[in-house]
Amino acid sequence: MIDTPLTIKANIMKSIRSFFYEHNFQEVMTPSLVQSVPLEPTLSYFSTFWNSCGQKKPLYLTASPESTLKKFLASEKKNCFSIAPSFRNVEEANVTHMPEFLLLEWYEVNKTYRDEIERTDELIQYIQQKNPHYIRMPQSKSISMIPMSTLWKRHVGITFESLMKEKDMITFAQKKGYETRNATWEQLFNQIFLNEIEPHIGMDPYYITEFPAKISPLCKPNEKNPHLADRFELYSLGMEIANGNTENTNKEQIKTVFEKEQTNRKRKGEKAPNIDNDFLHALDSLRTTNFAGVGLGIDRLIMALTGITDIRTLNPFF
Amino acid sequence: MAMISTADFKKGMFIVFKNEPHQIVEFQHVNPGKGSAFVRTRLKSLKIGKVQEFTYKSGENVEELPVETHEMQYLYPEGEGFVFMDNQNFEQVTVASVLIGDFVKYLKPNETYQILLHEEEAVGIRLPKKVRLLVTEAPDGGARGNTVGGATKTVVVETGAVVSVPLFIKQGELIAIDPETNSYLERSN
Repeated sequence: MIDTPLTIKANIMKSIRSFFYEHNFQEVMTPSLVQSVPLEPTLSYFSTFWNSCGQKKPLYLTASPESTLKKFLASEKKNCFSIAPSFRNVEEANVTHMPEFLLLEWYEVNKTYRDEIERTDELIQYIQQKNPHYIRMPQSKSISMIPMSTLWKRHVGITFESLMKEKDMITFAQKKGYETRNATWEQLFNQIFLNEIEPHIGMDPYYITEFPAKISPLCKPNEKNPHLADRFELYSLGMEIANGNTENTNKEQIKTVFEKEQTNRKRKGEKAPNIDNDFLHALDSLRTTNFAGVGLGIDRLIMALTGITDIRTLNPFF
Repeated sequence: MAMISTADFKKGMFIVFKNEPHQIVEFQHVNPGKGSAFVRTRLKSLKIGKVQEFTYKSGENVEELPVETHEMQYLYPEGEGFVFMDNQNFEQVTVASVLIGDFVKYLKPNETYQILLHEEEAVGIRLPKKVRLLVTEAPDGGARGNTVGGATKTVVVETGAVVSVPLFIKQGELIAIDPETNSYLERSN
């Protein structure tokens, strides 16, 4: 008997939970409705109003359980995880995007992003062992790692390190025929990545490591090379599945990012959520703690493992 | 020069890409992890028919090719294209084979079609929802294999296209076909 997509999803989620319970992570049930959200420049949020005591209080749907988990970590320095409905106000639903999706996110104390690459490998192998009938993704001991710089050198012909200055990136992009008016460094970096590197990533699983710190505000900059972040992304079947990093606890740095983004949104006439001071406070109390975490798209992981090609197959009731 | 943004994209729209006219075959929005929004497109070159992918920044400005629809009669093939004549002003235009693509198998001389022109040059043909063609060869009798509902047989129509139709269709009948899927729609007598 062939299991349906929803049964497959339930079984894999069960394996994910067992994995973290077996490794003594505490599960945290994080709220979906929150009073403020991390003002990351590229996240667009759903917002609503709470008719609380005759007042209209603005509330948001979380884009990830990150801020709640970090607040939990600040109060109880325990390895923790959450499987949380996460919401992003995306332009359209398609094979790899939906406005609501399940994010698995976990944090470990006294670990770095390299430990989390291993942890991700372990999780995937565990799921494969517990669900051998579903698995299409090749079972391998561990998945290879490629630094972002190598991908640039190989497919773009230049290392992005030589383009760290805004004007250098703009000049380079212009020469390649990209539109650069009003474009940010992050947009051009990602546009070049999507056009010239991603098509060559292929279907095999890879960890891409060493992202520019410039576009990774919540990640700890690498000590030896501070323009690089201690960050990785897991790709499989050409899709980004997970994003992990050693965490940045520099409250002032992150506060500046949020303030800049708030100003930016107000200037564009967009809604600008209040800065989550509890989150900043939590980061500050974690400043002497070394910890790392991963956010992983459960639906996309299931797609990569089983060969299901459309995320909507796993979310038929939307 | 008509500038539009990616927010205005529609399937089938004509734009300038790398200084050449292209048609948007399809597009979807993508959000790389913790990155801003992008629009991944598949663009067909009007010059060489090749389809390639390109990812735009969401909101980026793109030059739209203003295109007019003309009712034109198909006359005959010529070289690497097909000659059509405008029903209103009798001007003739050659539409390159790459722009007709698979529709060539439904082209019937003296039939009127909607030809898309940009500054008097053909950039494409708007596929009709159905084409009406005569069945010229139809085998009698049933289809091979089991016949649980929807039994079909293949026939040839006047333009040479081969279509699967229900068993009751005979030679000499007019049928309507969906040119996008090459599927039988109905009898058309």
